[in-house]
Amino acid sequence: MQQETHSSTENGEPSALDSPNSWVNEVLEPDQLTASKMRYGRRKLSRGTLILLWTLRAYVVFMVFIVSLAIWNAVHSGS
Amino acid sequence: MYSDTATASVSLEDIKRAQDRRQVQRSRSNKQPWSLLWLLIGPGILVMLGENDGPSMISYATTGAAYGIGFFLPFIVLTFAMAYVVQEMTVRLGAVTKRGHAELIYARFGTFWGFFAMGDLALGNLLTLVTEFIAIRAGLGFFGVPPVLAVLGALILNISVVLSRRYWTWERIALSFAVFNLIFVPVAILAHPVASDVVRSFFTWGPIPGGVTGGFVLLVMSNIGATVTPWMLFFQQSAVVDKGLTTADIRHGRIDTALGATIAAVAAIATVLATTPLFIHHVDASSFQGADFATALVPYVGNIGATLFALGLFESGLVAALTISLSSAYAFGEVTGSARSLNSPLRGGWPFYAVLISAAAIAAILVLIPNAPLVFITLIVNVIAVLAMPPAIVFLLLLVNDREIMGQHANGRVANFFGIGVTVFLVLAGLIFAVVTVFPKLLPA
Repeated sequence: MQQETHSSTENGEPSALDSPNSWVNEVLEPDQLTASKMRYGRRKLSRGTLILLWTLRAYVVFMVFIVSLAIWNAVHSGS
Repeated sequence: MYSDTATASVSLEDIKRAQDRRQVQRSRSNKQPWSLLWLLIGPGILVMLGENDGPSMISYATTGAAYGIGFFLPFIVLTFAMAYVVQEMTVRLGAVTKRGHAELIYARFGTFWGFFAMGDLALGNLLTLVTEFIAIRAGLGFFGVPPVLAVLGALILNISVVLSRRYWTWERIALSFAVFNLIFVPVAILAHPVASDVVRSFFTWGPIPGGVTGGFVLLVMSNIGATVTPWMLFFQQSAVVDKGLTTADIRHGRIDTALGATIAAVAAIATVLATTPLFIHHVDASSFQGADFATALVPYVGNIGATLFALGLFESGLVAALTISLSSAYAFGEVTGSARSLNSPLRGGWPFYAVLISAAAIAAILVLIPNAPLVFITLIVNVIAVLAMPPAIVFLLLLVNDREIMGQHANGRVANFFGIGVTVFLVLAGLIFAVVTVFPKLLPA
């Protein structure tokens, strides 16, 4: 991620150029800094979890069909 | 989960967030509880009041007009209790992991499942944003404002708030709009509901005039969809991260969420009460769209009440447009690894701002297309929200139970009981709706 430093101050805070890390690093936790944030790794999904996720995906597809049917009925019944 | 911070450079985004966090730390160390609360509220109230959006308020208005004071008052409280259960988990997830919802899904479950989650969000958000601009158009249309002016004005307002490029500023402006959701309370008072009927309904969960019909089931689904939708998960978690909340702030995050749920429930119930005169006087509101309610209420709540109702409709669409378009931008930034904060400068964060503005602009344009199927979209959007929630909640439950990322803040048995309970409830609601749709003769018309 592109880093941009800030030379002017707001609310009387020290200039980032004068002490770029000291007060910001004191205030923010390490994982809140954009430059130091690293990506979490993949978790292994159990067989049961995969079945659950696929079942819910099928549920969504099925229900989209049902909603479409409901709207079709509503439109063609004039209600 | 972090590199050597002693040598890490800070970005402008970090500096802005640190300035906000410094205020929080000062209040905490100076033992100023009210100041601390003021600083830490925001994501929870905004997500709940953002969910009291255009279609939601129309759903509540339809409920009051069709069923009056009865079952739906305590049911609305139940739906917001469910919303609290779900949203509280996003507070913990964001505060502990410092990651947005989309980023976590992609990181932990991979691109394949992340694609499904993003697909649901993108489609849902687009449809919902369209309905927000419908509400804006309807609300301002009551005052004779032309559709083009209403929609473009709201879009420009959205862009202006975003281009402050400061999360704190955006949040405070959005909150000042959101609190006007309570504008439905004076309308409810002007409708002169019978207090004893209101109290009795919370104890008896009744009456249900006309009994359980297909229309009743549809309205139940619509009311559920008016309180729990996928964008809320993505918005609140990312907003918690953007605001810079940490594990020390989880308690206040819960208070913020509970406060939001309470205020939103009050506004929702007020909307039902506000349109109860239409039920009492047998006004057929089945084909009403937004501003029709305001016009129909004039004989019962007066011009002032009707004006407030129309303003409330406009406000509900505006706040939701702000929050939902932001949730799309957060998700985009997190998935693509680009800027994902309202503290981002324009130069480095232009994709984030472009997505945010485009999401709102596309919806605004669709609303202005002649003969666009707007009624169709309004009808289905809340129902689709209910249907898309179970997969979204399952991802949420998997993440919040993941001890590798949550540590001691992972769900306990009670949280899982309620979280799974909400998921099962939503799936059952959807299946009941499916049965009633496929076999309409099972219930009276």
